[in-house]
Amino acid sequence: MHIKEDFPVAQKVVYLDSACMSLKPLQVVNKIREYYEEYTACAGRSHHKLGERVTREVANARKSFQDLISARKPEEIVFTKNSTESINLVANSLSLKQGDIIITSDKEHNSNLLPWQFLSRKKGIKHIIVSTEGDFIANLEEKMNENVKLVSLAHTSNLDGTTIPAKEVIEIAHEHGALVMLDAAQSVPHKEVNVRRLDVDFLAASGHKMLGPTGTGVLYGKEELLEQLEPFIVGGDTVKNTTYESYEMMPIPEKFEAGLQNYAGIIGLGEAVKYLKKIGYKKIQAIEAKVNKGMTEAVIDLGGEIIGPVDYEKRSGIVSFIIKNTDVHQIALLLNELGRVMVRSGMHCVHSWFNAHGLRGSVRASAYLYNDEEDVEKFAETLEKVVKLVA
Amino acid sequence: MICFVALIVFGIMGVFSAYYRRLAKEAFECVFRTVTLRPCDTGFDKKMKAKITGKLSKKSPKLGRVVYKHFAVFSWIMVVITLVSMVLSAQAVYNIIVYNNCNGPNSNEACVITGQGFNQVEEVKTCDCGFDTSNCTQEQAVECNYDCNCLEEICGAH
Repeated sequence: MHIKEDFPVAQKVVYLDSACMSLKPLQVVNKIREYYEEYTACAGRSHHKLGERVTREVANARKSFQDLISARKPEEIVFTKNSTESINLVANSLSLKQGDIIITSDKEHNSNLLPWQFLSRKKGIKHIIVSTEGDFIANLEEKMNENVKLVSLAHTSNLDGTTIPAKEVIEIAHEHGALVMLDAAQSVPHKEVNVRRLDVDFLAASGHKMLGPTGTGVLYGKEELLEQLEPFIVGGDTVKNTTYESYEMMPIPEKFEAGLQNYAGIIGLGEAVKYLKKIGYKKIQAIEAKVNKGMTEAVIDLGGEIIGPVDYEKRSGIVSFIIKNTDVHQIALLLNELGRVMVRSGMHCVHSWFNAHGLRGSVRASAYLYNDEEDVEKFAETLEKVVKLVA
Repeated sequence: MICFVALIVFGIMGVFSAYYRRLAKEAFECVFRTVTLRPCDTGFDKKMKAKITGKLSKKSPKLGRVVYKHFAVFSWIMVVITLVSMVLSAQAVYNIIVYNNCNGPNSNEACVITGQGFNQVEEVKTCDCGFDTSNCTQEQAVECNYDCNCLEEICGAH
């Protein structure tokens, strides 16, 4: 089976920006079209035939995601707009008070930095940043104490593709009575994440990075924790009943899914999960490793400096690099212009890390299951032309 | 500097196409920031630089590299050329309005806007046919192989 055939865009260009947005297979596109053409309706509230079909499809999507990350129950899967919303949901629903400590790393996406900075201002919580340089576990242990309420970390960094030792982190945090949230936007699409084996408390993921439609995301939370959380967005579909003075909330996950949901997106996400399962994480990782190896060699051969470890096996499908004295945006623009190679340039929403390191950004090429050797060749060949042009 | 040129060029092309109107708007934002002494951070100048040098290097890598390296100089040259051609165009338009000729009073030179001077047979005029050939067209001259007798027959003396 040739994966690329399912991705029309991947046949036209060399798409290496999957850490930002993955391409969508035809199966997902068709599933979304099917919703709009055959059974556009509301889930959970309309009891006609179409409504029941949507309810069933949404439930299937929830079940698919539950299986993907090995959650105990489908109720532990809350559909959101993206990882950012999932993280914000936890940040605003946990009963945090002044003096409580939240720990993040120095390489967090803005979506796992700003919610805590805002809470520092609004509630007076203390936000501590742990360095990922050197021994991360030792750095983390040093900061842990009984006031730490939550450790919120990117599982795999969107900046350099490195993955934290999540199991160890979670054990340490739990020993100190702290909860752990993983921003798994860059890990769930690429590798097996078993929430039960990890014993993680919360996990945030984005649908658009894992072959799903834009505007879809997931928050996983342990059942008992989700039940304790106070939803921060309420309204239609979050309540069983209301009077002018009172309300009765729905159980999880509905109490967090306020208003009419993105049914087409959720159903499309379910199909994306199905597609990922069909290919299998082993194959996905093998493809990414092969592509990353080729890209890494090309970057090094052309005098580029890699951000993060040089060993491609430690960087998932991501190679983030700079070429001395060259504007990173120019490299990305020229890769596009000279070879239709699509990469991202800039600070990748990790401004804090770049600012702390005095860098103005990097070029990031990120692979996924639809990339192949042909793409690597084109990338290497075009990068060589670019380097010759700008050197 | 390339934003200034882009604003003018895309502004004119934008009259005919919405695509160029969008580019002109981007260029305007960049120009506005530059004239208000702020750095152009819209990325438009970088986009233009990559587009121009990328296209050039496809034709000639050497030329692409030179333009990339000296893009600021290249941009200035483009600005000067654009400004000079704008001044000359404005002058021509003024001449047309006032003298009905691009080149000012008492000029017989060709005018691209009015078309004056293009159809006359200068080669014939310069030789002595013994009659006024200003009514003869280039096509007629070619047809006659620049022969005065033939021309006299076709377009006649006045």
